[in-house]
Amino acid sequence: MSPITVLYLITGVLAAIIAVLLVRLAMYSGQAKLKIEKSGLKERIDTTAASTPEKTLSESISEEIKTLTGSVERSQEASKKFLYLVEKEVGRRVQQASIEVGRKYEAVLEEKKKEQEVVWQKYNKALAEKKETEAVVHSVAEGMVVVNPKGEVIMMNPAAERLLGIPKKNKIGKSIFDDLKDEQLISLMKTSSDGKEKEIEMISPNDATKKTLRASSAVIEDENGTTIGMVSVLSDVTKQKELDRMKSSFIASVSHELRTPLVAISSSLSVMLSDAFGPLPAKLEEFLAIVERNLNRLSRLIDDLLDMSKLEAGKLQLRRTPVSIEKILAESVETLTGWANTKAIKIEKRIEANLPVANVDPDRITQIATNLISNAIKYSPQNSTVAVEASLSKTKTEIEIRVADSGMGIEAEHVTKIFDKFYRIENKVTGIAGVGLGLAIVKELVTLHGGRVWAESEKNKGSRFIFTLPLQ
Amino acid sequence: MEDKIKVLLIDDEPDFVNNIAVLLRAHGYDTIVRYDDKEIGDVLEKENIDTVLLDVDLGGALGFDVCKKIKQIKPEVTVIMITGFGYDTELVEKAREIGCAGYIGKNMPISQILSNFKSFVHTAEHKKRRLS
Repeated sequence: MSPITVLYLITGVLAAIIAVLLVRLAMYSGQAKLKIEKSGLKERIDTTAASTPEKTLSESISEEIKTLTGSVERSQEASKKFLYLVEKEVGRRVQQASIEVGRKYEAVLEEKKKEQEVVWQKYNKALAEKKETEAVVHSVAEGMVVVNPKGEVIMMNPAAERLLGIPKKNKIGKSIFDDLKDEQLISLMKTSSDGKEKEIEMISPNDATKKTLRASSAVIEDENGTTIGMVSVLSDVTKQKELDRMKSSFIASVSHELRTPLVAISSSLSVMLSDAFGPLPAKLEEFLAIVERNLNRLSRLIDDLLDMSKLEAGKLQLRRTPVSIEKILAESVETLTGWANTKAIKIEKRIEANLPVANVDPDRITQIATNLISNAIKYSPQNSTVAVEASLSKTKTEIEIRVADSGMGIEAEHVTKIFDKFYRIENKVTGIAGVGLGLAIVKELVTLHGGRVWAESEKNKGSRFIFTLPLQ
Repeated sequence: MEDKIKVLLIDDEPDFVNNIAVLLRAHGYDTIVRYDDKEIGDVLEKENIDTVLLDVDLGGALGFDVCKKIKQIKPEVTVIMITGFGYDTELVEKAREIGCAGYIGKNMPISQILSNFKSFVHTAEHKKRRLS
């Protein structure tokens, strides 16, 4: 039998199978029943159905092929071949589909495995980083407390537990201040001058556990700039504060003790120069003038030490009163003109007309002006000029006072440091004495008035010291 | 001729207080010097004191307590505090509260100490005359 004949045969058999299947399907449905009844074939089919029990697919195919071929043997043979081909094809396709499905399943599985590996890697990395961060936070000496926007603690390290004296388990999810009461009362929270740090004084009835903490805080923001919390670093500054207090007390005490003999010498000198015991020989008066000059210098030094200790202890209070800055500057210049004349230095006043009065402590502003003008005279060469200027700022909210000289100037590296306590520029050429307190006091006094002070200078081209005083 | 103003100087620093006494005498005041507050009541009564120049730190005693004692014994006496601690807002305020007529820092030049003293005494005497 040629392949074409087989193909025709298969097509015919398939058609027969489909026909048989359709007939059977119709027999089970009412619609088929109705059609059969209408066509008058009901009895015949019923007879056939009743006379033949349920046939196998193989038998049905054989019957159909028999009707096509007319021979039982040939139909059986064709049926077998057909079934073999069908089974073979079905088997092949099933196998092919299984392989395909298997491959796809494996690919999906592989992909999922890779994804899972990536997730695990990320998780492990995050875990390692978290552990690393926790280890760092855990081991830092400073206390670290992280709070959410509600102020509830979400993390704190052992140092913070130790400093606050509260176990972490009692604080997580609670406000930082919740348990700090009675024996550990937060009595004071003051913002430092730069506004970034706060000092927390924890008062306890027992002096041994009384402490001062300094908290430096920063807001935590997410990538959208929304505040999600705040991290605070706590340091125990109890010892530092105690040392500061002892230092201030020591300076005050030493200054007082230094001043006592000084005033005795000074008053003795005044008695001698007062003609209380008659006129003095000219030569003696000359020597007594030297004694007086150096006494005044020593007295100023002690005053500086005392002022500094008061400023550090926050005990220096201003006696504000509305005054004319022009008048203060004029008086300061007048006081120092005699000294300037000895070096042939001319002091030029350039004061803006109609300056408003300022609500300041006149004694302290005189002290600032005298200090800056004295420095200008001290560091200026002979036959030079010192300028004292004052004008209203561009914003008209403050008065700006400038003292300029044409002296040796200050190197850039020193300009910002010269207002530090005890900062001295080593200068063997000038040999000008001092302990480095004058400008530190100037800065503190200007700051106390709410103003700013800074210096502008260039080596060998002179210096300009500027300070501002707010009008309100 | 107007009577001289009698000043009692109380300071535990003899060198300083004796010099100031000399200078005050040169400026026309009568002076009595004491180095502590012992027998102060007797001195106030017997010596007819007008003004006391009193050190804030008397070593064993606080000048402010001595001032209160003086005011209890003889309220009309003018008390001027003097101190080696210089100008201190707290001390100045305290001096004012307990009725002191003035406060002088020893850190001032002697000439200024004298002129401040004279000014405080003058104001206080003027006030006394007005009230009497």
